[in-house]
Amino acid sequence: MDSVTVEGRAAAELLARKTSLAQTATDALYADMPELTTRYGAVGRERCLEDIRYTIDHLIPAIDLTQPSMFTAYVGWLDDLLRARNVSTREVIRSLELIEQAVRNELAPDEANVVASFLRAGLDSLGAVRREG
Amino acid sequence: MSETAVPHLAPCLAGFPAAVLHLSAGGRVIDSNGQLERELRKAVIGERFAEIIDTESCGEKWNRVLAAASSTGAAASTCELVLADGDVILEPKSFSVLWDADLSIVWLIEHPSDHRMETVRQQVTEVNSELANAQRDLVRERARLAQALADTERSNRALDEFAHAISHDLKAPLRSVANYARWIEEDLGAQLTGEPRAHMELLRTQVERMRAMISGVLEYARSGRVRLPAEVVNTNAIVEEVIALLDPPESVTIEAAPNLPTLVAEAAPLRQVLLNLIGNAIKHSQRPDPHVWVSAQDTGTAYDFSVRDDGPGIPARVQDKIWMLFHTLRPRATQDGGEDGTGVGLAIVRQLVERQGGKAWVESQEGKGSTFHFLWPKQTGSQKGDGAAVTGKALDV
Amino acid sequence: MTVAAEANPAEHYAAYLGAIRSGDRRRAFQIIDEARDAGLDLAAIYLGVFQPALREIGSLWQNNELTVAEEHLATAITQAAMARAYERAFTWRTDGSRKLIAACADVERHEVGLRMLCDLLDLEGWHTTYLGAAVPIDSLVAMVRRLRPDVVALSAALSPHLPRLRAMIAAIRDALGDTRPLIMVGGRPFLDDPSLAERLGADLTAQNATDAVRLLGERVSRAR
Repeated sequence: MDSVTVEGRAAAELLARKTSLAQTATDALYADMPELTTRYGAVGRERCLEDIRYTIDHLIPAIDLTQPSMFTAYVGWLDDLLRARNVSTREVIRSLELIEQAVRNELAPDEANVVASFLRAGLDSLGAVRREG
Repeated sequence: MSETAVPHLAPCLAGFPAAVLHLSAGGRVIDSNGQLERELRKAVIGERFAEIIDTESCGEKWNRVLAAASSTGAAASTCELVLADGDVILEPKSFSVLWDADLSIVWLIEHPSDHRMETVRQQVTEVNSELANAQRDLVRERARLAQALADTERSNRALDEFAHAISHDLKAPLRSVANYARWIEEDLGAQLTGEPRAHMELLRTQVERMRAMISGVLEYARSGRVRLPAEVVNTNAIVEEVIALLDPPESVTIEAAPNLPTLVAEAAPLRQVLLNLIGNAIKHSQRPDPHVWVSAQDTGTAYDFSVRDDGPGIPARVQDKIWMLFHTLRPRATQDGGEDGTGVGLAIVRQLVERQGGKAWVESQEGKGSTFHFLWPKQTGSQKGDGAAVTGKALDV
Repeated sequence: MTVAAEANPAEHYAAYLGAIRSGDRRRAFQIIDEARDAGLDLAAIYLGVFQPALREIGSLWQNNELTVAEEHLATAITQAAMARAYERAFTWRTDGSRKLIAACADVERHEVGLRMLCDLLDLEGWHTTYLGAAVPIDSLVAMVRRLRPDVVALSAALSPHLPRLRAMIAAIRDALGDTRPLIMVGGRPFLDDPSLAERLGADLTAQNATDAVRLLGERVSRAR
């Protein structure tokens, strides 16, 4: 990763803080949507953590290579996958928003802005899906 | 049969790391190994199974699987179900559904959890990949061997053709040399005496020897080339023919065992091998009353023929060399004609025998005679002709 | 590599997909044998039958219409069917001068596309070595040093594997400098954006296995 560009720094930070960011976002998601606990239980929460880590895994190379389409393609794929398994697009959207929140709390503002712009691209692509659906 | 008559799940299943359940034909849980209770944190025996699962996402599927299991008898199927305790939904579980007709119950056996499956899957992927590599290596190697075999056959053929051409071309000038020598002798007549006369005689002998060697090369080249159809061959009859061809003097005794085999073989090469070996035994005997014995043993897959003599024997150090083309133990002992001493006979024996997939060897001690063996493989229905054919079967998974 | 005019992979594809969906290995093999008899060459079977069938299996899994186990079975059958088709198509070519080493940047998944490339190159007389997934970067570099291939082909099925792929390329460039082999990359991320190849330090990429065979045929000369 290029440590000179802000994208390079943001990607490196995401990689270094992946675990804590995913945990923060998951905790926030469950605080935000308490019905998830009753609906999916403890196992569901673990799965959710895994999914969010996986999302960050896909976010890193997209930012590193400044390639938003790489991330939006992933978000579309994830949404199809989860909807086929009774997880709503609303939950996917909320998880992206909460990743952004966690990133703003942990990363420097310029890095957080970069990450946020990529997350926004993902959210926009889901918005289109939601309108169509 | 009433539900109470169903035997309880074996105690050992209590430690099984996945859920095992008995359901009645009506779909009620009648026994459990305790795993499901642990996850749902409530009792399940007595509950209807349809109420444990999330009916919204998989109710229909469950009805279908249960109906199929009980209507088709012993059929087993796999079903992925989302379990629910009221509003709490667990991750989907994969179950084997087995109908036990004798007891009128359904067995539900949970598949091991995903992460263990994932480990196994990764290992399977590794093994699969290795297998795929090995399989491709095998295909390549086999193709390479087939190519090498074709190359060898091609070069053998070229060598044969070369030997044939060379010996033909050499024969004509040699005939001229012999003629000139004879004319010189005739022209000089009585003037040819002393050393020049001895040299002229040596010249003639050497020309004769060379002629025999060229014929030998021709014979050797020819012996490897022709393949004939196999027929039923009586070896005793062949030995009779060989003796008639050799027409040995009265002093020679040739004894063939009365029970030599009758086999399916190419008659011509077998006759040639016996002719060369028996002929050699007589030729190199160095005794006034040579004795030769011919016998054979069945080894199961082949016949082990042997031709034994009471000649001078062969020193151990040259026993390997005698099979080489143009190697002879008595290169200058040609007083009794040009036929022997060319060193072709045994080379032909070995070539003929090896073309059949057999082998030839000698057991001998100096002063105690020699026994020449050759192994002649039996022909089976599928393995006539070329034994070196490359066959391949696809790997099946 | 040409497909006989009357041979159409589409019908074989549909039959093959049906067979692997239901886990019917023998039927799947039979369909591929029939496809060969109908005149389809290995490239046509790989790209016209196996590749779309595996893509469809992937999307069926995504849509929750296949279980993970069914997906894996379908993939395993396809790997076996590929080996079978390869075996039947293979003929020895004496041109072994062009060499390629193939490796997946992925840690656990093996790339069928990369295997297809190796198989098709074999048929063109190349000497290929398929290392699969989870190859340590050091070992890859050591192997490149030892075998001195003309080409190293690397694949990444998913974007999170791109950093590892880039590290592989960098290690090869560092270790071999000007004497390094041609570096080709492939996989989903490069289909979406071919310009990624150059940005990661690779020399070329291709849209599919036949495309790759053609490109490598142009770039790497037989005689060395």
